[in-house]
Amino acid sequence: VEGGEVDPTETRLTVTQWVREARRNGSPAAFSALVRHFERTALSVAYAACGDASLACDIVQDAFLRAWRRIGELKDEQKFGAWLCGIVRNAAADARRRAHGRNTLGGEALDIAGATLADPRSQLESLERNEQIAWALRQLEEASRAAVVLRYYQGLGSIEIAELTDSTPAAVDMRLSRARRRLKELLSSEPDTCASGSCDSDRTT
Amino acid sequence: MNEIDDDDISDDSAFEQELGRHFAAQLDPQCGHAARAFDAHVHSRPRGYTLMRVAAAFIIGAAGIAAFVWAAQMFLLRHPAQFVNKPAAVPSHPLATVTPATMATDVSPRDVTQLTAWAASDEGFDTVTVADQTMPVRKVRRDAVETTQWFDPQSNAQIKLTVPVQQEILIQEDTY
Repeated sequence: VEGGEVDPTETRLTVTQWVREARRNGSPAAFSALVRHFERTALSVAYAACGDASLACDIVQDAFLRAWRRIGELKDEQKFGAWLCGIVRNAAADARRRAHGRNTLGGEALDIAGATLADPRSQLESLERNEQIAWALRQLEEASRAAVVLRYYQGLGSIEIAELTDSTPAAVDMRLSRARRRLKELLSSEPDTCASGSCDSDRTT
Repeated sequence: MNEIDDDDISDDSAFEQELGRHFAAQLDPQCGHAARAFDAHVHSRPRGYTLMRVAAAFIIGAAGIAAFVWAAQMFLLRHPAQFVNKPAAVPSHPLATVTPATMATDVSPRDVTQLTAWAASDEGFDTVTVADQTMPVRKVRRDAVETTQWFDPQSNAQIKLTVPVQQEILIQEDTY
């Protein structure tokens, strides 16, 4: 789908073939191909649900193993992506329950992002900006956050996002529009908010 | 607020790019872990699976051997006479040994060994008279020594019985 070079119909056919092969014949190779194909999608959904990149990675690994064990329960082979996203959301809910009271949105990844910058001042500014974005994202509801991540990280269209999140393209468009506006508002007002301490008080790392 | 001018579009585009960079910085380092984890999970399974199969095959094999030994023992206990009292077949070789038979009960002879040594010689043509009628025959003589050896648990003795046997075999010949 990404890059616009692959025909979506052809991709979907291939994905359906992999799903069929994995579901009916228990082929690990076919499921491995599905893991590679859907990993970024699953990461996006998990990150939107838990707000922590490394925790999202753990959630995705767990979710794929759950999906592999339960692939026989998949009713519609065309809807593997939506089914997988449901499993990811459940795995994220379990992870949230286990790590109750912890919220480490962006902390580790901010260091990774900042490490590539040589200038200490620009590094600090980048860290602060990432922290602001992370804080603003936390203010959105989970469904909107998932739509934002799927759109701006994976570059998915409204129809694809709707399929993955059990929604409609119109609802996704509406959600994205509101989320963009809200994020802009939050980020334009956020420095004062952070300066007043409420930003830090939200983070209970 | 609802008016969309070039600045707004440019703003939106820059903002969206910034979001994209933010997410890439967060999530790109995490890509590939799930695929590696799944591959490791899949490749680790056959090893244990093979071990289980080998263990199952070993258990089934051992159970089969045990069942065969038990069945053989039960058969020998129930039918000892077949192996003790049945006369041994005459060996085809002049000096042949019949394999020892295993006794089933304590009072029965044990370790029975039968040895038959024999030789046959053609003594040529002769005539015999049967019911006042003389007929030509071919005479074959067979000399044999049959030795039977066994252990008697009742007397706790090793017994050896040797019987010499001489046979004259007359084969009727046609007259011309």
